[in-house]
Amino acid sequence: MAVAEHPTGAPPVRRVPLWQVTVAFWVLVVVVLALRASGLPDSPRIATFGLVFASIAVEALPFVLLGALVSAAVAAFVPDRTFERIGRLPRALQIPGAAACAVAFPVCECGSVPVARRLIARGVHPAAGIVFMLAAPVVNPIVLGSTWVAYGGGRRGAEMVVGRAALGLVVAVTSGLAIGRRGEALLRARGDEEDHDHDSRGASFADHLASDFLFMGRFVVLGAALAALLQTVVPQGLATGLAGTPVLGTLVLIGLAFMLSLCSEADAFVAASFVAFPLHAQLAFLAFGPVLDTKLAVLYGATFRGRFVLRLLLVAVPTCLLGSLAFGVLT
Amino acid sequence: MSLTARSGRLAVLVAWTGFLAWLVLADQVPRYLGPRTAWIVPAGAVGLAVAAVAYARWTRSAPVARRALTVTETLRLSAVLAPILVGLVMSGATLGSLAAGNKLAGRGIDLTNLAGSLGRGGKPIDFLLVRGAQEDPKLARERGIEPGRAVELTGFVYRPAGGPGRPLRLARFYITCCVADSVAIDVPVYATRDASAYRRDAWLHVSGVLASRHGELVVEGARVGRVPKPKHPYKLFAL
Repeated sequence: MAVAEHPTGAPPVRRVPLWQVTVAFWVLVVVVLALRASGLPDSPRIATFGLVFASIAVEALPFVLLGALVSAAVAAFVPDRTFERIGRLPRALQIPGAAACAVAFPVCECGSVPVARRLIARGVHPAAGIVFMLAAPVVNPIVLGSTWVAYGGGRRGAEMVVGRAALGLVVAVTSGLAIGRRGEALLRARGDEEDHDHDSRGASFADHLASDFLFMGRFVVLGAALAALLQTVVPQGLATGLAGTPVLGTLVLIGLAFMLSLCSEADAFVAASFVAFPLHAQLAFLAFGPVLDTKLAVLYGATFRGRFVLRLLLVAVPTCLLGSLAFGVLT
Repeated sequence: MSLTARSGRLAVLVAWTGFLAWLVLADQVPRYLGPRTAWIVPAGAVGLAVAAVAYARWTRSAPVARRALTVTETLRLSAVLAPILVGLVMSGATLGSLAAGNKLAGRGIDLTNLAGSLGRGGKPIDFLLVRGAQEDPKLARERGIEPGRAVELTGFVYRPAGGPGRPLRLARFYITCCVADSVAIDVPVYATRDASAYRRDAWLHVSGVLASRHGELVVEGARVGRVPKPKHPYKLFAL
């Protein structure tokens, strides 16, 4: 392995020679063939883990690419002065503006994180960036449409759509105000950002696109692995005993939303099948899952600093709980 | 000769493009995603291909093209490749009893809101319709899914850990968006042969008649035959 001095005098970096990559590739080919021949995929635990892991990653990564695409376009094509103007707007205008943008941005949670990160990095108030990031996966038209279909339309469908949109916005705005209100630096520095010094917009766009996709992608993959592990080893039936208790039942579904890491465009179909739980607990599942789940916790941890996940948890759980209980009283 | 960071990143983009394209061409998508989200895979393959071409074309003289690929970055890029490795190893695997037993939804799925779409059309009787008819008398009348009706089902032997071996429970997973949201639906089968003769997760084809036992629709007098695992192991909620 080659070792090179960094030009700035930083610690030496270890380079990877081409022959090592070539050998690693062929070793992987042999490993894949050997594992397939060994019957490993027939093991129930391995199969459950592997299929859930791969399916979450296959479904999520194209949305990460979409988010990275928007993020790269913002970085490469939107001039600084635009964000300077937005940044000078009072927070009271930025937050509703971010919520309005969230309604029109049809991506699930994996795609909204890179966009929010880029917006905050370019000068948008952190509270507004967080509101956008948390609201977009809940209140966009595709998610609300799938919620309507999952609950069979009619009055129940309408109640769940309105309840989900309202609670989603409340959780997003509350969390944004609680976590980003002081405008403190929230973003964690990334090691690859010194590369983004380009002489053309095309190069800037392509480089931001690839680095955002690969940065977010690896944390989505890690989160998918954790979610798959939880789905493999934790019997969800343990939760049914608490289903009839309003508060505990709601907390159980919030926990389940965290564990399952479902895409917000699909989760309503799963929530609708939790017939043992009351509707308000299902609403909490729908409002909380796109805000914080296993894969998002990993992704947030890599994107934000200052115990972001813990702070989000402390705000989002009580808000979801109280909001869903209020929904139960009103409907 | 060392690789640059640019070639490492480009290799990962190309690998994901190839993997998604392989899923489409080898008809592997139904193993992971349902019909509502299946479009994501070809769209992702095209999007990643475009991203890879743009990256290859526009970053030839960028700083990333002059920087050597480090061990740390290699490990980070390898993490993004992990699902590809798992997908290639798991290309013949399907969910079975373990996953079915872990699923909360499998214990009391509400099929009444699906009854409208189920009742229309001439869809052959399957697990979902049998369980739907059990919970929705209107659907049962409309489709004639009542005791005495002959049925044929293909599914896997669902035997939860520690669960009884009799009656034989035949199940099938239904997915909406991806395998993570799949729901197992099972139907009890009273076979002419001892149920314990069939191992857990074995794929069977069952033909018999519907009967009602303890308020549950079951298949009775069933003839059971082993079948190979189907190419499309999951059924789809046609919403």
